[in-house]
Amino acid sequence: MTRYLWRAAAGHLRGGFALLALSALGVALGVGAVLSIRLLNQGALGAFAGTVRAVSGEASLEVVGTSPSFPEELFPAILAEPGVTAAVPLTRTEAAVEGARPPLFLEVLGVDLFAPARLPFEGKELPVAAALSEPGWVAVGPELARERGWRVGDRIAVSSGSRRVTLVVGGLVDFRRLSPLASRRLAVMDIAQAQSLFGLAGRLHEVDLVLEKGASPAEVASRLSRRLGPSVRVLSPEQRVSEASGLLAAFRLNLTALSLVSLLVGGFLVYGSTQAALVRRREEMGLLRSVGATRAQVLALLLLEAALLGAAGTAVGIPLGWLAARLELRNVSGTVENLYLLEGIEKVSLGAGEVAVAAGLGLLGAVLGALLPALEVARRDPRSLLASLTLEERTSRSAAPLLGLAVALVPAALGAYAVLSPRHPWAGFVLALAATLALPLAAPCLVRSLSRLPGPRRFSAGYGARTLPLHLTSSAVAVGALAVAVAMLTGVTVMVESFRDTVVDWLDATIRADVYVTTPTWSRARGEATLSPEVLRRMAATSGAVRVDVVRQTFARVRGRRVSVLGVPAGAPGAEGRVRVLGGGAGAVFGRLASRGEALVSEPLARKAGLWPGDSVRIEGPRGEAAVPVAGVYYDYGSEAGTVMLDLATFARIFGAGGPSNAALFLAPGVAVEPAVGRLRAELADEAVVVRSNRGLRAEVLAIFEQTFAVTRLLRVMGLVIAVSGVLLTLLVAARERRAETALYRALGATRLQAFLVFAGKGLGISLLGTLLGFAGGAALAGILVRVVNRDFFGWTLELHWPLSALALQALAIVAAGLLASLYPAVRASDAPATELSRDAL
Amino acid sequence: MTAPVLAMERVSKVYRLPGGASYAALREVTAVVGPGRAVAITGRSGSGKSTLLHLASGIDRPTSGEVHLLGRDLGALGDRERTLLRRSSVGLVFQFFHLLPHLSVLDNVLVPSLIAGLDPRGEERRARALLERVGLGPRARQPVQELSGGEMQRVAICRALLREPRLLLADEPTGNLDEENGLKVMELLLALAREKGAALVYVTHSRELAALADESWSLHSGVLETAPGGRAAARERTSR
Repeated sequence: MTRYLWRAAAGHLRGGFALLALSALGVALGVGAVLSIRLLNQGALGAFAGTVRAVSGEASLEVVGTSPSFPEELFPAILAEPGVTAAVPLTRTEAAVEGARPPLFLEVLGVDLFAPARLPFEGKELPVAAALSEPGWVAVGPELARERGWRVGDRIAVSSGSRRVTLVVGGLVDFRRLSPLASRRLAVMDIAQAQSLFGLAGRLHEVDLVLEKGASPAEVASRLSRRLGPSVRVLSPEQRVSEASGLLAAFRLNLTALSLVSLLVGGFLVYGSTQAALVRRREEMGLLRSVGATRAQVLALLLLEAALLGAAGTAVGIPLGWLAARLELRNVSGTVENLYLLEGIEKVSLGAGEVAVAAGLGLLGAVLGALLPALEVARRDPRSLLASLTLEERTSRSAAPLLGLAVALVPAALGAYAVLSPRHPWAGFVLALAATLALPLAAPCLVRSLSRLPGPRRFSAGYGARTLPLHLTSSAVAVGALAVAVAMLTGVTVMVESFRDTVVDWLDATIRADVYVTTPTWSRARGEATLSPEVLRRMAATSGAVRVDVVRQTFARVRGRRVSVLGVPAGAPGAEGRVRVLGGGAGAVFGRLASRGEALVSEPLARKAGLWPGDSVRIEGPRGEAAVPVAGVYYDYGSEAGTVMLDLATFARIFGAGGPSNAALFLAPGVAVEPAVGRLRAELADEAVVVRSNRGLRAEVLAIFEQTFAVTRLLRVMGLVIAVSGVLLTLLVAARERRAETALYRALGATRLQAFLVFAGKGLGISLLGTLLGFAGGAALAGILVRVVNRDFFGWTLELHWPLSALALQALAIVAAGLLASLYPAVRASDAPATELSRDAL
Repeated sequence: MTAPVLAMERVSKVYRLPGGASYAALREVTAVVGPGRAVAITGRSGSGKSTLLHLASGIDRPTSGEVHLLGRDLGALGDRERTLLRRSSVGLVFQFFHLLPHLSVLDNVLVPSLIAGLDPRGEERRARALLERVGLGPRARQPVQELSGGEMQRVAICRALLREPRLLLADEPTGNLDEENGLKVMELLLALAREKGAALVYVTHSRELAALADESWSLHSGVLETAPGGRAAARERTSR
């Protein structure tokens, strides 16, 4: 049988290379889509984990500040803890390199150069004396130094908050020798210098602990936590990576779900090509069974052929996935940095594990795609395989039951959602999956309904479309696959547009000041990047200034989540205009923030942590846990993890005194904004600040938004390419299978052009039906993504917006692509001479 | 003298086979079919019968010699012109009917009008009349798959006659039918061709059915022999 398999496979390859190549392309694109997302997801975590590993080395535990620094007076207590053999104190400062385009941030580690920890300096000996005595001495990564053209002795101007610092390149330190995925922007300097230069006197960010052999990290962590109090958390490096993984979980799952749709469409393609091949090879299977092949052997033969197809697709899909991941690296990295404040992805690496997963997916997808038609053929006896009843006829008979199944999916999915949604935020994906699966199930009935249309008046494209039910199996699969891709495209397009419009409305409502000032490092360091009082004074003094509002920001833990905490002047006139509150009444809510010290929580936090007005939000600050009553919930699209908004006084009560991270300037009516921005920039030229107009800030927020969704564009295109390949595949099969039909038309007097148009009509019919069905499914999918998945999974309420003109253009492009895909098969079909009228039934 | 519908002059057809060998399906065939005449072609399988019909209809071109259909040299015409000539002047009936399963009985008959770009609704009256004539009037709206073999062939005959062709070519029209049905269909075909004034050339393996024609041609390894058919012979006997 094995010998037969190879001969049969070689024969089919010779006979239908284009068809097999297209099916393999479907698998390749599906595997590529999933692999690229896996590589990017892994890269996002790998960058964080790699940096943790490189910096903390063999540490078993890390003591990290909650706010995020803590007093260094705690260090002796840490060192004295039984079981701790070594403790390495660290400061971590985000320093923006001035004038770097695109922006470049060094993560400057302040380390004890005399500590026993092994640091990967390049060169024979570390010039300790220079490192300790030369102001601003810093060792940078060799890769970054090469990239920037830095040499030992070069001076680098950086800023932290509004503070400017000059660093001197004193050596090279290559953390990638310790961990290949470590960030290339890590730099090292003496801890005392770092504390002094970056305004961290008496503060530490982290202490890495090496424990005695046999000491239990969990027990040491527990004892230390009790002894050191709420200003620190004691974690293992694995726990830190796991927290980062939790932060990214929703983002990663969303991308994974999108990429799986491409694999699903690829599987359909294999299903379609296997069905088509089996219609053609029914007799071959019948003969094999007649001469003694068992059902199992026939099944094995067909599945092995599918596996070969899957292997070919996987071989192409793996480099494709790697390439796609490289193409999307910058966008995904930007999102990970901007929205989740984690390490950006610098590179993706294709390990043996990922290759194995991709190969498994490709083979499994191909085999699963072929399983149903293969089982159908294997279970039949030789007599019925050799009889004239074809798979097409059976597909026709099963069209109505399949439609019934599609309809039944709706209440089933709603029921499953009702049961799962209270406990599982991903339950919305069940609805999305049902809406997607219903489309291919409805496709056979939709295609079959074409035969009920009145007879065409011309022998042209319309006639061709009406003949689609003749090869229902392959045309329904092509329509179904296209519909799934179009539904995904439509659903995601509507979702992205709805999101964009909602964000624009939100920005209109919340960005109300004329000029915004922050520091270059704010985007990375948030609360640790503060504006000096001098900046605020000059802002207030600028001509036309009416008022300056400030915002303090930090991170804290709420119910085990790292959330952003904002301090705002809640009592300032018009402060309530800063947000839109669920259920309205922002004025009263802000009054309670100012007068009673209550809190506003963002919608994502409210939904995920179950915090609603009347509850108390427990904020784990450096002075312990503070319970603050929730006055209201506000719409916020800036953070998926959630935000708590407090009055500045409440903020100071919990987190202590500190500088603001952002300031907003309100100008007098009639004062032109852009000239005021120019004046303020000149005024603050000696400070490390970023001055933006209202319009500039909005543009930057929208640019981040676009970057976040850019990755979906590639996935959507890949899904669509697979589906259009499905149209091409179906028509190539039809061109081959329906040669007798075309020959008859030619014999009855149809010109070659007419035969061409009839065939192109089939392509047009598949494209139109697929697009129509896809749009119906896409509308449902859009509703589910916007109203259910975003609300349950991310905690965002979005307004549903229908970008009709964009959708119409998309529909035109899809139909045109389908039509284009039909041209080559149409040319081939129209070449069928009338002499080829076979003895088979039409 | 009336101009012939079909005239073949020293027509040969040679097929190139893989490996460089060649196979002569027809050798120097010369024959004429006059208006309204019925010609039966007999011969073993592979003797060149179908090839002759392909050349006569302009579906294929001869390797050498000339085929004239209604006075036009098919060899001098391009594919499109031959197709248009076939569309307007030739009706084809096949052994395996070749009806389109997605169309009704009536729509199958109307396919040539559809291909010709004529409004099928205008042609419907004629199609229905043909179906009435072959006894299938009441079944015009039925799917063709519900018909028996004999009924399917009657539909195919109606399709071939719809555009009132001057030449009707039938390739073993009864080959897929039992003897009784075959005879009925053949008689019907001959009667309809006579009624419409069309010349009929049909291929058959049956001596009995060949005897119904005005002339009988016999093909042996691509070489044609002509002889008066059963009806012509009967007429000759009567005149004597």
